Amino acid sequence: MVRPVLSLSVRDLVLMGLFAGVVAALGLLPKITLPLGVPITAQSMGLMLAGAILGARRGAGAMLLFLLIALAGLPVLAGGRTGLGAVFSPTGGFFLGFPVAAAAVGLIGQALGRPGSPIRASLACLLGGVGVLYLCGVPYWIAMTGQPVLAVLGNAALFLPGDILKAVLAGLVAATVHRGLPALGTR
Amino acid sequence: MIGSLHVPGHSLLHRLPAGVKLLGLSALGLALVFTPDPWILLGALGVVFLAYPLSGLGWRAPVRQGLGLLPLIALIAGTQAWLVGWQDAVMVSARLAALLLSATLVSLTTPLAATLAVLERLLAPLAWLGLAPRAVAFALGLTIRFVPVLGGLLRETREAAAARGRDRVAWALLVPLILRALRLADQVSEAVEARGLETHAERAHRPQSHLDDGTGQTA
Repeated sequence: MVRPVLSLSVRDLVLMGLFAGVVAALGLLPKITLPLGVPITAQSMGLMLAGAILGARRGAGAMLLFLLIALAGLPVLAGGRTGLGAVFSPTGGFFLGFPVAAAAVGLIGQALGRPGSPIRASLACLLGGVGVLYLCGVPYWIAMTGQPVLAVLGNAALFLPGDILKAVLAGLVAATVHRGLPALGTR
Repeated sequence: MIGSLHVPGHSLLHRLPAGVKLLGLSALGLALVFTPDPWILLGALGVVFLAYPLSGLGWRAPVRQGLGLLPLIALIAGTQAWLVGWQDAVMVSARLAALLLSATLVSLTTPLAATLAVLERLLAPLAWLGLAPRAVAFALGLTIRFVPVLGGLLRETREAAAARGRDRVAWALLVPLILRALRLADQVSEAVEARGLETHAERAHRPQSHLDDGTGQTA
């Protein structure tokens, strides 16, 4: 018999399932449009919150579930898109990077310690939820469009201020939730 | 239940098995990404566009989908036209539109359950990590069931904030939303455990009872 590497309890599974639902619900929030027509959606905050609140393992699991229901055809992505459409668009790497980035947020948060600290939580969201997510998204964008690297970075830079703002906010929210529920754990 | 995009029908695309469609879509996607010829890409876009009315989905669906992607395509095409040339801008736009329309076509002609079944089969190797396919299916079912519930929670939280005159701070909704979702998770897991479901890991750590004959029923 294979020894389970991921020892998940029923509660872990339920937390993952419900957090995937929270991220889907965040897609329903109206988006804010920055000057130049750059949309900011609340959804990418979801992956930062999943990693920072549930920890690396459960956060990545929650985002994997979210990916799967989106791929299966539920229009849960911001703007009512489905996962297949997202994978086949230049921003698909950002979508597929959700579980990876959530795991990174969780791991960095764990390394920094003290989950109730807003500064540390924001830093984890910034490095994992923006840094690692861009590492997944930018190469995919380049492969999809064949654009020169500098042009892609220039386009991505339009989204950067909004993403930094989201990371700071996600860190504040995660720290507040951890202070309210210390029993949550961040395994 | 939240509605999936699936539109029932009897066309050839509707009747093809989900696995075949997903495989075909992946192959088409790779082919489109590696095709540099703008004429072939424009041709592919035309074929995918025509597949909508041929599958009984009408003309409006592809136009609406295309309009949704327009800002992103315009951004990319603009940069390409400026940096590389207009042929390149046409190529990229045709490729992106064809990719999006073909992916959405599969979503529109395949029922949610059929796609989920294929995805679950693809995830079966995760059993080697100790993640049983049944656990994945359980969590997926839970997520699909709770998306509308959490959407409702979000709406309630927004209304409560609006009643206190704080409707302009969308981000202030997140803490109450998440706390309510976590509380809901506790209630759901208690209910699930009360019905005798447990995961592999929990069974391994459970103290053995002589009353338990392994069938899940106590004597």
